[in-house]
Amino acid sequence: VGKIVLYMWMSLDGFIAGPDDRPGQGLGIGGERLHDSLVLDDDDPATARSDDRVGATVLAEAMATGAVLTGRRTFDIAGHWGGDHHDGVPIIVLTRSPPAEPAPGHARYVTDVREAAALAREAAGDRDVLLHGAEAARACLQAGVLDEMALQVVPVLLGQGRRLFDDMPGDHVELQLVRSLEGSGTLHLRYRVRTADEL
Amino acid sequence: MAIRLDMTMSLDGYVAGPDDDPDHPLGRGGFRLFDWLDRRLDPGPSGEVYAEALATRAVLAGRRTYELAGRWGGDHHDGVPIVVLTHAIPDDPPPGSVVYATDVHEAASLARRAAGDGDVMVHGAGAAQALLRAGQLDEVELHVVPVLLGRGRRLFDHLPAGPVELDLVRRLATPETEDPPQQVLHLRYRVRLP
Repeated sequence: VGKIVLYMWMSLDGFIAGPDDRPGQGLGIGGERLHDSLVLDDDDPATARSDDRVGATVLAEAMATGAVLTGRRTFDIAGHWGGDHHDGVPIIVLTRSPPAEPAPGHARYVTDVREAAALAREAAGDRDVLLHGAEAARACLQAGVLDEMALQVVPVLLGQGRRLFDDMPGDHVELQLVRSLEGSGTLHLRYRVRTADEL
Repeated sequence: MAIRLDMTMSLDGYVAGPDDDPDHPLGRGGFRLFDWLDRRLDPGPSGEVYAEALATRAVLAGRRTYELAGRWGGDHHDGVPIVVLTHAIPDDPPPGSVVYATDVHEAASLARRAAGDGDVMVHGAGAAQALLRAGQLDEVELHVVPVLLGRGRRLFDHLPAGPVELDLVRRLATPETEDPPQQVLHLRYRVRLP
């Protein structure tokens, strides 16, 4: 059975975008630095490439997922990925209030995080689910449906911007580092969320 | 040689839990961060980095950390000089090997001179932020604990926007056989000069 894996590129000080991130400026001011090691055609994630071998391996893993689970904010800022994130896999968009118009392409809106996670898992089958975006990540963490985190820690301090881990409840989440790779100075860390019965 | 920040941090960037005060210097739940220190005297990565920290020849800390730590009784380790960065110098004379400084550049140069050929250990989020803003921090040694605290005191906070480029110079993980509470990732970065 596949896992729900958060994939994010983050500065060492915990930012996933610079200040003032919005549609047309998805990574905020100065946030492009976080994606320096990636090359994309027309902002299409399916075309993402990396210059270094380790980065390319992690990208290949992300693009081998069988479904995408994301938050509404990330989905909108990304221009809905034109309705297709990669290979036409289902895109589950977590939102508080689904818009009146139908979701584009392979996307669909879901309001409940557990339902969204279950739909994404089912859609992915044996493959993993690519989780993307800070708000969806927090929702999945709080609902206990996040299995792993693949964090690409970029060697820079952005100072300000949007944090990956913010506005969380004070409950500890215990993790296990299951892989640590380095490519071109970026640290690719993979953590597994420890389950309640291990603790 | 190097002014090096040495801090233990949760993966989500906290160096203490919420509500840290003199009676609870690590805040609520913050003790979790220091389980790795159970291995500080053992062979292995955690013992190695701990020995390096104690081989530094001067300490530079912020006032808040200094007070929360009970002023270390005037001696952090081996009687090395302790430079405390503070907005207002206390009326009572500094204990032990402590000197006070009100200016971050002055504090950095005092600590560098005191350390001679050795390194300076920086401790505390406030001092780290002041040194980063002043461009006086050379290296960052982070002990990254595999836990999300969710809330607390952040290490990287109150910094201006604008990239500070780093180079990862070392990465030491505890072995897979390590008990879960004592697992930790020791990362060392060099701060690139602008």
